[in-house]
Amino acid sequence: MRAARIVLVVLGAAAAIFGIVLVLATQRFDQLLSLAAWLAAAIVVHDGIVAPATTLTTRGLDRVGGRLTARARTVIRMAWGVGACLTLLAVPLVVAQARGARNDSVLAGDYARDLALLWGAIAVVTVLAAAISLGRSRRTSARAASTDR
Amino acid sequence: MTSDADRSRRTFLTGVGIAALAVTAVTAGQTIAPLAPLAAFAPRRAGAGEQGVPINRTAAEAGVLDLATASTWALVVRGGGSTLAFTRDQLLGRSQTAATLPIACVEGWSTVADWRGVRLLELVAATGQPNRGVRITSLQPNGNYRVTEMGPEFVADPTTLVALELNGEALSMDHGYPARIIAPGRPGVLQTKWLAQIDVLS
Repeated sequence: MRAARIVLVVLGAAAAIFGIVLVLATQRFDQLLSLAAWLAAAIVVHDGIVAPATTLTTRGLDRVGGRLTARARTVIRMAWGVGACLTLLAVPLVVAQARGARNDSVLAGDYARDLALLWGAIAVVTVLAAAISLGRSRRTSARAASTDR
Repeated sequence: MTSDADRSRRTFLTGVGIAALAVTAVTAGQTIAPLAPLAAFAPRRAGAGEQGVPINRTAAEAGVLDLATASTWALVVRGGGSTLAFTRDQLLGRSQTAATLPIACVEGWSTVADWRGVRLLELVAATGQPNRGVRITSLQPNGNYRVTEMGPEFVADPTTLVALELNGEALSMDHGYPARIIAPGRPGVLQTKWLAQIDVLS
């Protein structure tokens, strides 16, 4: 296990260094600047929008979700994270579409509808997973109670 | 209080992994054809667009409608002191080559299509200056890629075409009628549409 971890870390670090060298060697300075801006924007979007949103909702979940099992709360938290990432992808497309596409072949999808459908699918999967985990924990505690006797 | 299982590293990594898979699944299809049906959040749809290929710049945007439809249009090929001109019918009269090549846009989408036209290397050879690079000029009056250069290694490729047909039909206006460049291994912006002139570099 330890050896496997060391191998993975070395491989990952080597790949990262290769990538950095490649970027520095092949891109012009102004290209590197716009890459830096792009990466910084990704951090701003994550730390400024996604992280606060998920933190607030998980706090809320801790407060009101006391009756749920720990596993069910984990499932909801994961689902929320996945939904947040997908929403982040869809919002620029929906906004751009509202402003008008350049031609018929650009922004060809119905992004708002697809986002709603995906949130629906996430909700269904979450409810199923939470229900399964709730049922399992009831059975476990019932079995534990019967063996106590 | 939350239990260990609630906020473990394993849980976190699983969540990140699922999110990464989901994000990949709904976007990768704009360039990886088998995933196309899943590409809900891709700006481009595979097969969307005239003749099954997306369009970035239309003929109207490029301001070439009049020039491209003019009866006087001919592709000028200059090199080694000679100047040749080929009308679209003359190009169609030469031996035609078919190639299946992608338009791979730097914006992140790519679509493979069937092209037909005249090998660029044959037009270059017609000037008596084989094995040379070329400077390609489009009819469009302006734009960063109105004039581009192509190295001899691309010109020499037998699938580099002055394309006249796309997916079995004559090129549409927005795909570069009367003739365009299609070459393997080049970004979409260099697949010049609405050709005006090809200069063989010395």
